[in-house]
Amino acid sequence: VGDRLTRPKITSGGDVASMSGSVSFEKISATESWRVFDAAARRCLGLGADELVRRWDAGDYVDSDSVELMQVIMLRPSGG
Amino acid sequence: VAGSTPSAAVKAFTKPIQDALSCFVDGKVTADRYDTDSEGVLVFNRAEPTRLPGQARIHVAISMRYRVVQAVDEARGPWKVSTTGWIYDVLDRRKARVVAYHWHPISDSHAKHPHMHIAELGDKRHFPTGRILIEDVLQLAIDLGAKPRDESKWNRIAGRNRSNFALGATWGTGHPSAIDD
Repeated sequence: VGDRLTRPKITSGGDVASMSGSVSFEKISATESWRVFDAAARRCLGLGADELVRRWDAGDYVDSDSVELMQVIMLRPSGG
Repeated sequence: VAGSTPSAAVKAFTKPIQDALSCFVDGKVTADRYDTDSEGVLVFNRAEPTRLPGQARIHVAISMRYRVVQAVDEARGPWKVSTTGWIYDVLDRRKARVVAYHWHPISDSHAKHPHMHIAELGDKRHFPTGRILIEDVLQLAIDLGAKPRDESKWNRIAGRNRSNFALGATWGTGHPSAIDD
């Protein structure tokens, strides 16, 4: 059983999936949370978090129904 | 999900999420708040698409908002975590969206109720949903071709998580049939 839990499994499709993996937990700082938010803004919307927040707070997106916008703005840290 | 301290409540909240995701992949769940006067943000792998095992190469991107509140039932408290929003994205092998489950009541103009976007039907439509659990998202991923590392373990953990969640949930507990497991 232990071997099965630790040996990487190679499927016929070439996928490699570790059988020993785990998902850890970490409490992150407000600064790190902002970095996550900023990275998502740049990846999904092509602009930085500072600019996104400025536009959001100014009401520029009141009429927007963008899925990507909501995906990103939900990452905005409280107080940020 | 309750705890003796706010931090314990957050950790108790994230534990079943960690367990469910670890049936598929490695990674990290992060949360940015333990305090009780503001919403926190919880993400898996920085809210970036994470590929699940399986030849279909399904990806998921997961984020939630939460608040640490005092539990009404002191025996399960004194602190618990209440979910205040979620974004669950299920993507295909090219990281193109298949389905997005949203609940974002922070929005003024968007749909404030839990809903889903189905890419094939156009992103602008908001299809109402009930409460969506991580287990629901991962089960859809399985339906689309993702493979849990150990299917029996996944079934056990998903059933356990649903049952435990139902004990403390104030609304929406996922599939009623699974709660009997």
